[in-house]
Amino acid sequence: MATSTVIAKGGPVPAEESIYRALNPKHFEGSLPGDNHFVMKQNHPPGDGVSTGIASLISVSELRSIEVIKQLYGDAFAVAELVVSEVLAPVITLGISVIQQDAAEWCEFSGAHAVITGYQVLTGNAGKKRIHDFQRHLVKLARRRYYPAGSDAPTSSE
Amino acid sequence: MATAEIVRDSSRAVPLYSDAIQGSIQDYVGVHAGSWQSHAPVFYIPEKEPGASEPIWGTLIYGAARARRGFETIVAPKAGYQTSKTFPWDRLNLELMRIASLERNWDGEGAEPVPQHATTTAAVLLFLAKAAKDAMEQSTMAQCTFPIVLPAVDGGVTLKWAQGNKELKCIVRSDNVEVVRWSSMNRYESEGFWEIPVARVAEHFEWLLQQ
Repeated sequence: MATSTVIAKGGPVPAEESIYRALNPKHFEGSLPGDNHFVMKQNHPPGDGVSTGIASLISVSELRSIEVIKQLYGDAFAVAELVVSEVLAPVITLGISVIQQDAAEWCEFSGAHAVITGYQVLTGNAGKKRIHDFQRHLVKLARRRYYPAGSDAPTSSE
Repeated sequence: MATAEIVRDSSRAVPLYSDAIQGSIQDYVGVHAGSWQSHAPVFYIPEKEPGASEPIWGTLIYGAARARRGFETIVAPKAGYQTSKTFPWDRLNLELMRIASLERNWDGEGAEPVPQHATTTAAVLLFLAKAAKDAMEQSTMAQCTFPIVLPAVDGGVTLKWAQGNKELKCIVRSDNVEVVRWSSMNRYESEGFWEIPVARVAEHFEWLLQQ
């Protein structure tokens, strides 16, 4: 586990933090992270969002040990690493945020869970456009630094 | 990695390998970095039992043929287009068939199945893209990459093109298509979002191909 950090329950994850996104093997575009890894819909319930792990509270190998994810993705799924400040840079004024949110199904790592959320306030076609822009942004960040399936070494498509 | 398990009982299915069809979409658009296992089945074609019907595959094949016939007899003459025999229809069609055969929860996370009508509309969209490319090539020798074709987890077909510095993304949902386009790879904000009938997507292909 990386160095500890103080993150308030239900509060925003600090900008300097990194977050891990477990990558469903069925959602790759070729061998790269793709749009389906970051699905955000206007009709998602408030508070729902893209599920991630807070890097200072959980490592890649610990994320891979979470049973509920292993059951879906297999033993050695790929993981993307994103810096919170980079995630939020283009959308900070839109109300999108990265929020710590306990996940009981993550068992001992429950407190390490966070979601990218707030996009639900983006309504109409203008909102859809902004969500597409943000999704493309997240995919680019994921491709910049991710751990391929079975690997503990990060790689980049750039 | 992007292989799909479509047929639950593979003992009654014929495996179709990526090298047998010159790769799935993912293989030939150049986005994949060589991890493809050539002996991993791309998908399974259900094997017909004696006397049994193949409603899904029959409908899909019929739908694809109908889409092509519709384009050739309705859209193309009006627009002055001709379809090309060199268009990689077979490969794209195979990918669409694979997508259309995905069952509910195909990703293990509750993904929706893709309506057959959406795949038929996606087939028409591909013909429009090819026609726009052909028309452009006659005057500007434009080159255009093949699209990435993906199932959308909420039911639909996503097609993405990159041409020069431009990007075009279409999400086909039944008759209508959501279109988003970016004028630069490095630019965050898209030029716009459109929700339009498939025939109107042609203007976006023309935008994509303009130098």
